[in-house]
Amino acid sequence: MLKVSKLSVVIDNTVIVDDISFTVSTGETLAITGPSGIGKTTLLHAICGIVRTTHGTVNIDNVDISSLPTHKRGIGLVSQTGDLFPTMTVSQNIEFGLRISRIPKADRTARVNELLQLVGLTHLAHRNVAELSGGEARRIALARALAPRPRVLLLDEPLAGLDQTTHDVLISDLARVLKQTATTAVLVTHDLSEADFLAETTFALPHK
Amino acid sequence: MARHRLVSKTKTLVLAPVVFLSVFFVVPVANALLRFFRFSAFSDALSNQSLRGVAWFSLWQAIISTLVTLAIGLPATWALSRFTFPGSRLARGILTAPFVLPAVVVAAGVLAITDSRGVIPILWAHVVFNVSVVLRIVGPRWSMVNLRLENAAATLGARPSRTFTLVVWPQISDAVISAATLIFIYCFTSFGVIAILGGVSRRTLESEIFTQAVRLGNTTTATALAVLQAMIIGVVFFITRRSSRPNSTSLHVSAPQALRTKPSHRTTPLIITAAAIVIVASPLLATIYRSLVVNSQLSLSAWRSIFSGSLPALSVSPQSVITTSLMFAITAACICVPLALLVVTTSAPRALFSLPLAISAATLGIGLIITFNTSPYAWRSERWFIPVIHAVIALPLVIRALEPAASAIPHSLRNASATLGASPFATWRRVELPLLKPALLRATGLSMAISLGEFGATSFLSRSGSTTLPIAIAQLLGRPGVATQQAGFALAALMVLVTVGVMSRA
Repeated sequence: MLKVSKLSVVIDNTVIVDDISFTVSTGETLAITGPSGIGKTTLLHAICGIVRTTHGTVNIDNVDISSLPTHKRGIGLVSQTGDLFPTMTVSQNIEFGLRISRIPKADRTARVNELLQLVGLTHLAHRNVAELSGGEARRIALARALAPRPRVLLLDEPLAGLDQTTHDVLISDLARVLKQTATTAVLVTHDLSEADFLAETTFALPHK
Repeated sequence: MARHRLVSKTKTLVLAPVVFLSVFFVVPVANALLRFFRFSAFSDALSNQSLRGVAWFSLWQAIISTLVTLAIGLPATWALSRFTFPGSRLARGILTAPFVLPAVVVAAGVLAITDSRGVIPILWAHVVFNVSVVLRIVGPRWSMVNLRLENAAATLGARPSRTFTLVVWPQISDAVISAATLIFIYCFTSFGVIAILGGVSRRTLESEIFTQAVRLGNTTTATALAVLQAMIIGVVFFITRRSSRPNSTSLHVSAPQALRTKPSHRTTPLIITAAAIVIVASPLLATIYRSLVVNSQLSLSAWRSIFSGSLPALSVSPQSVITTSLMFAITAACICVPLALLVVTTSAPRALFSLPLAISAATLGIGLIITFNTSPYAWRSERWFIPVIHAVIALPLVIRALEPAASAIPHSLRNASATLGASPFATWRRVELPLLKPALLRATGLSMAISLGEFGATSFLSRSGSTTLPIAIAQLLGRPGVATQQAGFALAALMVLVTVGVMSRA
């Protein structure tokens, strides 16, 4: 369970996130909606520790992780752009978090194959990431984030900027993957229909 | 959001380049100034007619060199930034390559053609070097001047000359002034070129600092001259910074503009580029020619002597000189590149690492010989000391070569790596380092080229067992005798080939 309590972020004397609280039950998805520039991405970055919080706490399964650095929080992030590592192949990207956790090679390979299968891209295992289409890159970013089995997955507009056909296919796949892996997830989107389709609960970020 | 740095748990790593620069640069230069600078020696130097003459020559030859370089470099920059024609890429490569060539090699090339020393050969050698500075600094800016603005001026009745002065010049003037400042400083502190082409009558402040400190043992006068040199450089910086303040017109730049390719447009740029290439490349080819031809006869004796023989004019064998130079270049790169990498990927203070650019090699040389002269720091005669100092001198330029690649790494990749469990160090090793690999190779090539060509500071430190290629070339070309001179040209030609080889692979 993820519990965010009275979270605020102030950067250069500007309040970006103001006193936000919510809870996401284990295995469920919460959608956070709101117009552009309201601080949705900053909120996600504060939850995973990329941005320092000014006030408030972040708890996972009743343990306060607010003071931990990003790499020790066990929170995965899929960003708007995917951010695949350009010097690595598709497999190496998915394997990255497993290597960092020193998982044995055989287990890593099995997990990478499992995730490639999950996102339907086994044939691209050895492809250079620069050769992927927009939709393929998003799927690989999702597989990479899921590989180390994060306790919470943050999805920052994971379907933004895709053409309609790719968007429609990917939204069904994303719903299937989240359900199949029983991942606790927070989805940020400005698209209300996307929020309804993917999340059990929706939280509209209040206007500042 | 503050840029992620490796700083959090690795503060000692950040300290390494700072300590290195402090020990081998800041301390010796400060030591020289504090121990040997005397106002009385400074006023004595100013009232000494001979030294005043040296200062005056340094100044006027640097001004004329700068003007001549701009007169040749700016038209070539216009041609290569505005037009494309068969061979234009190669032409750009030829004109920019001399920047990394050793000063003594360029000087040897000019000597190979003129067979005489003096002002004209000195100016020519300075031009060969510095045309590349104009192309590198002004070229990118000129290629971005919006063509539509020029067309608008033409439709409003402006002649090409008026369009240039009213529309183009205001947009490129900062870059031209920056280039002119750098060229002036390079020429004002010229040492390698003067050592070969100055003869007995032409000396710059830089070469006089060497003579006073090393040959005459007069460190106080040498320090006074170093301060005078630094003051003149400071004044030039001050004047040029004031006159190159950005104005609103400088903002009218855009993306790189399409190059003109129509045959009718090509003739003038082709002629201008060809002329620049003749001026820049002919001395380099002349070193090769002079190394192969004696009295109009083809002879490989100089090449044989540098690879398998010995030369009476050198106290060590040419093979040992070549090996020493290569070992120094590799060692300097092994020290310099990791330190530069630490600087660009951590929060190490950047301004500190620009300092070696503002202080001349001879000033550093004085500091080194007086600071590292007594036990337990009597390192000035140690073989390892020279490549360490080469690393100090290369550091600011290698940092500048790595910086764009390091800042181009998207912040989001570091975030992605952190959310996958990678610590800042793991992110640096597994994500940033692989992305920096091509830039690291280029930086290694640049560091090696700088070490291979370093002449100023090495002159203060070199002993018979640690003679480098530029020192050997200067010694050979300074002695009489056809065979000795030809061997000097052969070593210079070898350096042209090695430097071009190192840089083209990097």
